[in-house]
Amino acid sequence: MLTEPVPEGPASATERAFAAIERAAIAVASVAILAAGALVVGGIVLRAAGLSGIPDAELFVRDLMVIAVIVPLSAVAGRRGHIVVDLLVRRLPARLARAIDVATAVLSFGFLVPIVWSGVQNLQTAWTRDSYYDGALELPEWPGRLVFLVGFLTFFARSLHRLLTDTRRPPGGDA
Amino acid sequence: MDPVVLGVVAFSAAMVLIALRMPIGFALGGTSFAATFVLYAWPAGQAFDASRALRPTLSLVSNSSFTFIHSYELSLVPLYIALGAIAFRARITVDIYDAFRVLLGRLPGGLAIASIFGCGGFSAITGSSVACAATFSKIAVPEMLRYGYSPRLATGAVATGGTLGSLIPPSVPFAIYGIFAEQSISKLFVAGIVPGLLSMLAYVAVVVWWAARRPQDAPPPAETFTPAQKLAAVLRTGPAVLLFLIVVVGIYGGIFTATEAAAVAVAVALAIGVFGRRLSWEGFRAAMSEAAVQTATIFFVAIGAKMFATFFALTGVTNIVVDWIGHQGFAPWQILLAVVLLYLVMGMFLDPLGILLLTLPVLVPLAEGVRIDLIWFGVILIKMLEIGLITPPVGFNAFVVHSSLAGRVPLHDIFAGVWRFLVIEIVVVAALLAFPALSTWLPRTL
Repeated sequence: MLTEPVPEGPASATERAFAAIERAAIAVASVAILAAGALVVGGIVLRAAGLSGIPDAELFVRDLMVIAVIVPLSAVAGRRGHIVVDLLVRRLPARLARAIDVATAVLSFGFLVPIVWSGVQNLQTAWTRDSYYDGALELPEWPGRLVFLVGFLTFFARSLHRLLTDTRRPPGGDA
Repeated sequence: MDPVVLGVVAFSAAMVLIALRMPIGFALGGTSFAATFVLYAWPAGQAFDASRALRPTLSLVSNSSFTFIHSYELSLVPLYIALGAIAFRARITVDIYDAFRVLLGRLPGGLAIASIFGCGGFSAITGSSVACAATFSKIAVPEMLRYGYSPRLATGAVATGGTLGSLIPPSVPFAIYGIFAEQSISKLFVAGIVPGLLSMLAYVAVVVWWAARRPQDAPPPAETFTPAQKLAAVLRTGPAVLLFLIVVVGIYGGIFTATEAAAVAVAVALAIGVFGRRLSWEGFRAAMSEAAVQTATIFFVAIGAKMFATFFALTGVTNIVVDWIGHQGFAPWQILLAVVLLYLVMGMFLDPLGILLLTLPVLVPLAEGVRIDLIWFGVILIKMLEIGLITPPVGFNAFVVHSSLAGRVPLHDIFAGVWRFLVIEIVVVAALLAFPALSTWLPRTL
């Protein structure tokens, strides 16, 4: 189930900085969703008018999808919005539950580290080889790869910050 | 290491991590990464060598995640989520309930029937079961309670009616199923129409039966409406009907693909909101914020599931299971029954989207292996996910209704109201299993 956002105490400077980044990330992702929709609608309108569609519209939409999906991930981490199953752990003593949460959060980095690392490698490859997508405009690959890397880096940083603040909390404490 | 053993260990590890409250996306993605690394570093009959595993494993991580989301077809998911959020903030969805309330309110159980039809209409625009239950528990339940309806009937009708969101198009779970099962999302949307209507009518039948047996649970409201008021209420549903027509008729008529229908519906919903002065700037921002966060939340799990599916394909576990089942001579209906029971049990404890993404990597090849129609299979799975939303102890919609009413109706009363609907759900599932044409006839006419 989706976890409820946990109310926080007085925000630290780091927390405020992350909150500002996440607001910006959500705004960027929102624009990406609307832009993808606009490109699709634009294509339909042009098709209906008997004109050729927007060149490489599908490729633009695919790049916008990366923005829409990856950029707000830090906000999901910040709001504790991940889909989790807490049927078992919520019934455990607070101290044990906290220990399990910290342990699983540490294990989560076993996924984030390789994905960030591979993100760096893929960006390097796309940049140095000047890779581009097949299409009329020969759009470069690197912007999508860059967004992917930046999105996962902020997600990594936010998850790390969450882990550090959670370890300092008293067991069972929300803030 | 034997790939099959590794596959079983990885699956078990993912289950344990999920049970330990690790976010499902991390559990699936992390397990896939670690298990793929071991698969390449320690092939069967050879010594362990980490150096040969790093490159292919990282390639799997990057290709599975980036290529998966770098997709035109998938763009319909954020668009449908945005459509639901905008339609809700512009009060387009609420007008549907108002119209049914005005038209049907005086019938025995009329307000409960109106809330079920309202949920059906809401689902035809938003595709979110939880949003439907949350909205109607704030609008319809207080009204029913004010007119003396039994709290069990009022909350049971709304919690159950809310489940229609996944089956009636547009549906985000159908879109996700279509992507993983490589099936036409347009066909899946159309396939959900008859089962969705059948479910809705079944819920209405339960309310009619309930009101006939216990009239004191559903007294008719004193409020009456003039023909002019009824006409005005019906006319107010115009925007909702328009959005429904764009999505369903647009897809069925071959005018739009599922993605195009989503984009056009978002544009029209925004135009209705702005030019009809229904959507404030704050409402628009809130809707888009919801859409962005929900999109990222869903796709993070989907990325993990995609990696999990890729790892499973590498191990060959699914093929072995399919072959084994083939040799046992199980009939497709026996497989389907087993899947139904599996989803019924999982639905009692797990999040619907989690169940879907967790099981699809195994179940889709299995269904394909025994030649089950994947459109029909998808309808059965989504129907079972809906049922999971109201089965105790973790019937998510029951919790949503409970929380939306700030605890005014105890949880055990909500579940007590839901069980009558659960009985009819079993009848509906049996009908869908017995008559595949209920799910496959309409998409075949596309």
